[in-house]
Amino acid sequence: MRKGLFPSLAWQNLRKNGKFYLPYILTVICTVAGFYIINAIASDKGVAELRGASYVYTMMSWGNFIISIFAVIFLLYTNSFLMKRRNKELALYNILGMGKRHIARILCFEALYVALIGITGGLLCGILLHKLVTLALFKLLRFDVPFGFSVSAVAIKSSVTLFSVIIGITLVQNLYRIRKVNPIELLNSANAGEREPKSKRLLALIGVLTLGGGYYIALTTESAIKAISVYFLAVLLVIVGTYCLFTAVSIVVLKLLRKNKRIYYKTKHFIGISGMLYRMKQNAVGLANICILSTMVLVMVSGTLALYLGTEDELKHLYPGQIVTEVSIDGEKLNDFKKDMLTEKIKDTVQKNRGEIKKFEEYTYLTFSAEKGEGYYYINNERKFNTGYVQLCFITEKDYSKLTGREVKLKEDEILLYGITTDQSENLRIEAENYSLKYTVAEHLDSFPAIGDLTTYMINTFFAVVKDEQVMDVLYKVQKSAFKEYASDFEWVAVVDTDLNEEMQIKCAKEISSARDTGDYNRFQVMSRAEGSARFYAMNGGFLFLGIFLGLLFIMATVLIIYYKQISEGYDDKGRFEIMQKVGLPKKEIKRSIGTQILVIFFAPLAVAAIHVAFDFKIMLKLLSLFSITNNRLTMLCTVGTLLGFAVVYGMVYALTARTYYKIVSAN
Amino acid sequence: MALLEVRNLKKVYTSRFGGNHVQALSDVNFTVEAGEYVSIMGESGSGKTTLLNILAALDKPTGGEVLLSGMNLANVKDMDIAAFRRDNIGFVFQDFNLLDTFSIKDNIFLPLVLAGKSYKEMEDRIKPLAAKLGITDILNKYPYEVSGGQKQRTAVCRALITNPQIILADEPTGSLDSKATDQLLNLFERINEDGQTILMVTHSVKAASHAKRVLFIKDGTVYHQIYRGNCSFDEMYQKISDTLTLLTTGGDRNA
Repeated sequence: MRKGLFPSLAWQNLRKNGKFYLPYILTVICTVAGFYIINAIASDKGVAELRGASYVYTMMSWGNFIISIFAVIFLLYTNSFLMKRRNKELALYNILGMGKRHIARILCFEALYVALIGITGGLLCGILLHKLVTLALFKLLRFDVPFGFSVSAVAIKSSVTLFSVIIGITLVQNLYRIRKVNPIELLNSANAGEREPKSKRLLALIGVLTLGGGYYIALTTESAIKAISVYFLAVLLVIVGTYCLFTAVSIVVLKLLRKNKRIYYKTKHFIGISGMLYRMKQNAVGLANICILSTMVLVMVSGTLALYLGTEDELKHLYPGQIVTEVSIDGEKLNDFKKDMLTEKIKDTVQKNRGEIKKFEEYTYLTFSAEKGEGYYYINNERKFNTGYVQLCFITEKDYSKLTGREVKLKEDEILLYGITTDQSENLRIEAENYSLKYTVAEHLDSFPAIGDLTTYMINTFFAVVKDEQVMDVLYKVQKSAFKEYASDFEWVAVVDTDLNEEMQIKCAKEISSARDTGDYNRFQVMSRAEGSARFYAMNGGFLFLGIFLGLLFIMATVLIIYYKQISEGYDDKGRFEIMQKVGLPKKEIKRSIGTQILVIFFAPLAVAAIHVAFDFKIMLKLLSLFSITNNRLTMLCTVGTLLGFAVVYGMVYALTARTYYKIVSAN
Repeated sequence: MALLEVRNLKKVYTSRFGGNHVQALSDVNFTVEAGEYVSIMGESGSGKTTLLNILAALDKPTGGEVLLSGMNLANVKDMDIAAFRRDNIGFVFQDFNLLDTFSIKDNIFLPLVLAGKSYKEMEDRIKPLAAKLGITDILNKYPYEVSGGQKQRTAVCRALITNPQIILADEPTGSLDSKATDQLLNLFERINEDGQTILMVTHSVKAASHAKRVLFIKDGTVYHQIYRGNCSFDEMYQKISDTLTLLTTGGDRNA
């Protein structure tokens, strides 16, 4: 055979199948570009020198990992879909006298072209967009270092390697396919009469159970720390449930609809229901994929968005002031603790830096964990019961008055109690091996000032106000006797707000740290919110960036799956609509029935995804609370906003594919 | 007045950029009376399918006109054409054109559903018809579950259920074995005896020999026609064969 035949045949094939190959190549380009950008950012030396760079690096490695996995799965999936479409063409080559070896050669050239166009195009796009994406990322991270234009050789190398391997795998997959089948089979494979799907009661039941289970977990998980451990179980259940739902439940529902004669025998339902039922088997998995991808996009983007927008709240929570000094003191040495001297030192430092103190608060607290017993709390080093833990936190009425401005007069055995749970018991009993303490709750408080960073402990915490240092001391001794070397210390906290700028605040914090040597402290830490802000924005911005980046990638996948589905169905439906036209179906009616059919097929996954997100919302709030994001209204807005934005994109894809579909179906 | 009148029908296919002209029909004239059973024969490429498509209003003629019950097909608006086809014309195709997505029953109901008939009326209509065509037992099956003959009878049933003025059949026996072919031809005869007008395009001499009249098309015009009269099937078969021989051999010399 002529030498240039195979390359030119392969090229022609790609062009003739443009409707299928163009989106495929575009996908390769986008994925390559995404992979390159993530890699380029991760390997950028300029980034490495920034504050919080380690977070960026971690995020990018995750992104890298997810994109690689995604690329492999998605490109293999698309490729197998493409090849199924081309059965007839390849069979024809075979029948017209090409050996399988020749076909294999054509396929090799095709893969080569796809790889060349896809990888080069992707790298070009990646290099061009890299700068833009970096700028966007830095904006999110609140970094303000401008960069020159750069090309990362490392990123190019790893992109080329990864995608060559992936396209190589698709080629192997195709070659294997060619080897296995015979041409007659290939030629007729499209005509094989598809049997109507049976109702799968068992699968439907499993679907309902798993989905219900997933939702149940999402709705009933009360503690944030438990949410982490069960979240993935819930996600898994929902994914399984979604697959079952689309494969089994949809068929059951459609069959019920068909049974109802009054609904079924109406022009627009008649064609739509039968059509959907007929192809539900092949459709179900595709729809489930779309639904799950959509849900992932929604959860990821709305979650990271809420996290990012809530960073300010988070900071306020973790850093009650611009400069926070935390000191741990052994209870035995509490008398040696020179509180006033430290206070002086802090105030002096600010003034020396020409700052004015706007707010100064200091207090001492004691906190330890206890096991929940029947109506009492048990403190012991070994876990006796499996009932879960709570954190108990105590401050004196003097400190409480300072923090809240409210005067309280408590008796020796009286406390004020605040807990997140609505436990309205009348007293607080604490049991240890040799001790038993009992306090009467004088009042249940509705709120409590922020104490330490206890909310980040992810455990249910009870806050109690006790009479004075003596009571605190008793509590200290009791827990010391129980926990021994693991016992808690007294914590002293000083919070300062100034009128200094962020740089000066950081400088002050550093200077205050030098007071570490003034006493025997178990821990001496000075934190500035300015520094924390950089860290948190780097982390949360990184999350958001990753969420949006992967969200876009998943949207692309969703769009592509939808597009391919519609097009291939269009070709299948063409014959059916021709017959119907001959039997007397007006063109207008065709358009309408196509419209409803596509609408249902299209928006069913979106609707289910929205329901998933709605159920996910509560557990997401719990997870976000771990990051001190407690502004539920903001999270709600983020979720609804993301959903709406996604729906708009989705609607546009719908309009586009519906048109393409109609064109295919009504073409002569 | 004749049920179907075809006058000076012309059809010229033009390639997209107007380069090539192919004359499919040059001048076709014939009429079909109500209750007739006419078959149209001709070689491949003689214009049979084009003719049928025009009669069915699936295609538009370049010249001439088609009147069904005195109504000119050219005057039917594009919007109403599907409804017109549905109400007046029944189709039977070579490859059955049944939809795999529907059960046999729903396939038959299709034109009625499109016409917006109530379920009760559809049920009333299908019962006697299905019994007559011998498909009552398979009504709830799917096209891929039944034999070719059964599929074609389903198609006939679908064509008849709208009580059309005329049945157009395009090579209805083309995909059937000889037994199923015999059954279908007998069926057509029975339907015709009940007063149904049938126009059938076919290659098969055997199929054509069942008709009351056979038209021969060659080079885009009606070349010849023979009436069955009182002939038996065998005599009719012989007559058609002879005519076809003449058409392919002697015909050339005369033309």
